[in-house]
Amino acid sequence: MAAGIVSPTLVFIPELELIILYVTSFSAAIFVLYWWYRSYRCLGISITAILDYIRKNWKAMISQALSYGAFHKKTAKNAYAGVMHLLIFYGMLILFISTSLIALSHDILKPLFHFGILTGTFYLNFEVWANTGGLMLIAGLCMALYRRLAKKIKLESVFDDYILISGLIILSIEGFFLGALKIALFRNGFDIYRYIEWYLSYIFPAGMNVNTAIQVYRELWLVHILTAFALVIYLPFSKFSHIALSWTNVAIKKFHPRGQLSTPFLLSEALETGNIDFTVGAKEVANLSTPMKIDSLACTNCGRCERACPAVLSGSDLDPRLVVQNVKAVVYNGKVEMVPGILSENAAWACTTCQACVEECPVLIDPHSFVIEARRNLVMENKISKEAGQYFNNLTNTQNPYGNSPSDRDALLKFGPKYDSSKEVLYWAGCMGAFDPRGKKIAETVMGLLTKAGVNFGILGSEEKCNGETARRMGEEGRFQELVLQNIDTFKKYNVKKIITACPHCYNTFKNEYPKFGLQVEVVHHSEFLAKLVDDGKLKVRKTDETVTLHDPCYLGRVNGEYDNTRFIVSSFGNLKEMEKSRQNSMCCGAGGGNYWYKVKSQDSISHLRMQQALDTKATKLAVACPFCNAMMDDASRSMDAQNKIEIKDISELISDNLEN
Amino acid sequence: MRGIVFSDKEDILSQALTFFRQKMEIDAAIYSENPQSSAEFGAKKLFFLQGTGFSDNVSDALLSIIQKENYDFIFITSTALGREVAGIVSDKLGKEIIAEIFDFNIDNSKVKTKRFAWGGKTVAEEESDCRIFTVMPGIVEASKVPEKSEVSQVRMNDSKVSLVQTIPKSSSTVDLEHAGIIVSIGRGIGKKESIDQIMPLVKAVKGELAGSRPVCLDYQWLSEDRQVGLSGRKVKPKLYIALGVSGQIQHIAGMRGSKTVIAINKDKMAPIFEEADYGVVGDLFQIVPMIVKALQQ
Amino acid sequence: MIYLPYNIIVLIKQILDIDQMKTNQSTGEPITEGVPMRIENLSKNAIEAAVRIKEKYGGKLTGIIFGGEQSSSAMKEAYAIGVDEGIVIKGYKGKNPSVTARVLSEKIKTLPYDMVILGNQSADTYTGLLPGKLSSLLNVPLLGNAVSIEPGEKEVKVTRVLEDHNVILKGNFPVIISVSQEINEPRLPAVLQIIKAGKREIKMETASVQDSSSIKILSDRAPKSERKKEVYEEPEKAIPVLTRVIKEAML
Repeated sequence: MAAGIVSPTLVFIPELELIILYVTSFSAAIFVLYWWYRSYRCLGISITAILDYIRKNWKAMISQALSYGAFHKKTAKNAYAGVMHLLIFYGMLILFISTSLIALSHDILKPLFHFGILTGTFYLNFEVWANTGGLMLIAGLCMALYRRLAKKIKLESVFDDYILISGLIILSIEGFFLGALKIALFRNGFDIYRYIEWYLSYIFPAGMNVNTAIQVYRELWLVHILTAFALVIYLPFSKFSHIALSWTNVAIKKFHPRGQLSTPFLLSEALETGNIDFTVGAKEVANLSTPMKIDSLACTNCGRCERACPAVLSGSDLDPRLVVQNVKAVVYNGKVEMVPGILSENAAWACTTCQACVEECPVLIDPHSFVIEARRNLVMENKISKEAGQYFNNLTNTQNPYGNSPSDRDALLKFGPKYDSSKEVLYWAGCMGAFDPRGKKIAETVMGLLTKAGVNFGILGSEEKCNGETARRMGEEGRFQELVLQNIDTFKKYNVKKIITACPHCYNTFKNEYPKFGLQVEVVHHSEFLAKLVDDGKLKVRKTDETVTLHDPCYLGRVNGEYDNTRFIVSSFGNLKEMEKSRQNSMCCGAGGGNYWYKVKSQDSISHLRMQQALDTKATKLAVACPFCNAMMDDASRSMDAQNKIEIKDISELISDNLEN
Repeated sequence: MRGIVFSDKEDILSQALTFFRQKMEIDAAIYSENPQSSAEFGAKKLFFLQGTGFSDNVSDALLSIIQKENYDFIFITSTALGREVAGIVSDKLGKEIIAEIFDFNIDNSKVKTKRFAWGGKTVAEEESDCRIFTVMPGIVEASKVPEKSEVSQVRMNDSKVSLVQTIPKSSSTVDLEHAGIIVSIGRGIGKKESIDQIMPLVKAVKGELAGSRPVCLDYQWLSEDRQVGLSGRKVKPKLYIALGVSGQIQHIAGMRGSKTVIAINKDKMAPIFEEADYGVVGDLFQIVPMIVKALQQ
Repeated sequence: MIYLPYNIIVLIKQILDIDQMKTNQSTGEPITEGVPMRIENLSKNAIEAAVRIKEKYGGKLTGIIFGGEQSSSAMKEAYAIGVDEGIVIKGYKGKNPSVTARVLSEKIKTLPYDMVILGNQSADTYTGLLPGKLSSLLNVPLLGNAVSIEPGEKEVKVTRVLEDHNVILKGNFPVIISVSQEINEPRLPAVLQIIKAGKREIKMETASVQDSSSIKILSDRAPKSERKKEVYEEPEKAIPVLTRVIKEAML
């Protein structure tokens, strides 16, 4: 390679313009940095807190920034948008590095030390990368533009989005033309490495006037620089703010089990100390925790949460994207009431806490936590529906949602022995298992299977109390913790070591919420326990040619990442036909977060939408693993007159129906 | 022995008169806009209380009749006004009172009565020297006698309370007390929209639709005047069809008088089956159309 | 609108949670042991009605419970709903409406009041006698079975529900108002609010009660059902039977 290969940058640009460039670029860089810092400063986070946080967490920050930022761990989940974002992201990154190298070489090293780094082979490689970066960026931006114009998916498009996309496309095209013009003027053989600009350069007439061409170049350069700085200045006010804020968010995110909500107070402590002067929930945006406010800043308005949300699909007025965006809009002042300022009362109760939004968010925002905080405040202000009130009332009076006498739970003792210290596992039937006719049948089936497999189990009968899951998700933390304390006392009394639960909600609560209050036991859902019994040959299942589809319960699947046991059971006897939305993309049945116990206003019912998806598989059986899903699907199939088309069965009943002996 | 029954509802008065005329010589007092047939149920004397009555002046008028006639027993039917009047009259007379009786016998000098206790879960049979009672509506079916009562008018004093306006109830066409067949729905129907699936049966049997307390009061899927139960209507149809009604005692207390009871419920442990002549364990939304079809054949 | 501070007394009843009470399988007798107490639902409606008046017009709310040792927990809940001052009169021995009316009226006479608000009946006995008895003992007009209350300067307007129609009545203060369940949906205080309210003082008093009742309970049992109890688990078999029964009833 010839040694004379150098980048002929900025040869025609007069000094005055270069000074303007230096001044504006430094001010813009400082402006952007200051804006980034100010975003957090306005939330009350000082520079020392930031530095202190970085010092303590830098390892996690780097790894999270790399996996969720650089490697698009969640962004890439969606194919089209994932590729689009990768192209824009890496295109911009490459161009940013290229531009920085140019600045380093020409504006720092050359004037001060009289040498450049953009020479020789390195320079040629550099030009290939820079051209590729530009191409990626334009491709990604065109994909973005097409996505918005074609309107194939629900996507909030505002003027801002079009300014941004077209601005960047113009910027990239300007860049290519500048390069092409320069090639047309000098045309060195090695310029072919700038492969796009090389071919583009042929659009300039070969015999053009050099002075005119230089004049054009200078003007185009100026326009290019101004476009770039306009976009930089525009960055904090646009969707592109996520370049800084989302990356920060994924880096600083503190992970906790998805099935664990925040604990605003400890009831046991409050009762002991008598100090109860704390606020629970968020009346105003200002009352939200700082991590939640940082969450809201990171929102890019991409709408993935909205497209996955069952409450949105059913046509209710809850929209997780709008909740977060509305918070973001007023996060610094914060003097806006959560209800009705951020979301309506109906919307606050429409959330099924299915966490599809949490699963979807590429930048690790937890939209559903905003709804929980709003609910906590509504409960403290007694703004609850009649049905919700009845629910809480029953919990307080009878420790079950039905208001039935607690002693009625003893009816299950017909099917299984009472737990005592000689038993190895506790079967926790749950309120559905004790009081709901269908739930009772499932409890009976599970206990029958456990007995058959020779499992040494027992049940608590009337000593069982609701675990409080729904109360917590409905925002009634006090009632939840009352029940937690009572149940933990019972577990301690019997020295319980292992719990099998009938309900994924009980499972999640014991597994993820109770440890905070002092419970340390092994918890499994009956699907896991029964799958093991089948796998070990303790329950022998015969093969049939039935086609079975499977509904993943949110609190087994998406929230706790358990997808395989239910699939193993279905495959052990039948042919599994997956629904379009399955595993972590599974759609809620509509019962969660208390929605089983009250009704919100919506166009359709979530359960009907889900039932239709099950019917679309043409399977003759629908396997479920949650008593609430069971009830919802059952109700939907009745309303949709689909009872003859598909039979709804709990996973345990399917084993029982297909036992070999 | 002589007694008097007071009521502000003609139909309830006629039931109580039918019952008590077999026990003693009975008179009646009624406060009603336009009493039609109260004189035909065996009361010897019938007093029409005239004027605009509230608890205070109705009580005063009743007390003046009681003092003049010197009755051994006073029975007041259990209506909103009746209970208030019973409270005032018992206090003014300084006499002990037993409320909501549905049976009454005299044994030597003692009175034996029955009433529901513990929210309808038990029946308390009591012996006492009480002379004043409130009586549950529907104690027996009313039947007329040939002799007419001797009617006199009693002009009431003015009440301390004044009437501003009377508002007729819009849907007062529901007459559960006299329905021959009642189809009653409980929480088990799941949601208000499911009532549409029940209506073909209601029409096929030419019955009245009723509901349990949660259905009428808590969820308001049906209007409150269709509630059967201790706190609602007490009914005694020839046939009572309970759909998705679990059979809380509250409800049983309102339909116990039914001649025949059919219950359909998913839960075979539901207490309603203890109160049913014919029970079906299963999905009512499957069974109801089957019945309708069978009836049409 | 008139803004007047009213003195309101609300009478609160605590009952055994009858929904949870069982009867002995063999004897049919009630098992009251271990059954928790709760505020009677209509008392909650009464408290809610009083609190709404206070919230709208201002005033002071005094709650009175005639009960026993456990009544302070009910009063804490009443505080959490909005009662300002609570008086618990201990000495309640049994369901004798005359005794209850006497004890309560004696206490009420010592307090200033414009309105006494209470539930029209209670879910355990449904006697509904207390409003009338209090009206007689206090010589104060009774506006009963209210589904709405509109207090004015000297008088109060009440919509009263009757069996076949409603009426609007008015009476001059002081009055007794008994409320019907439909009047409102009582708010449900959060557990934390009940704990907070529980720190406030409750006035504890004791009434000496002599109950000279002539009533003797001969028996108190769950009524035996004389139903046929033919239960079918296969709908196909039941249909012919049900059809026959229905057709008979339609004759």
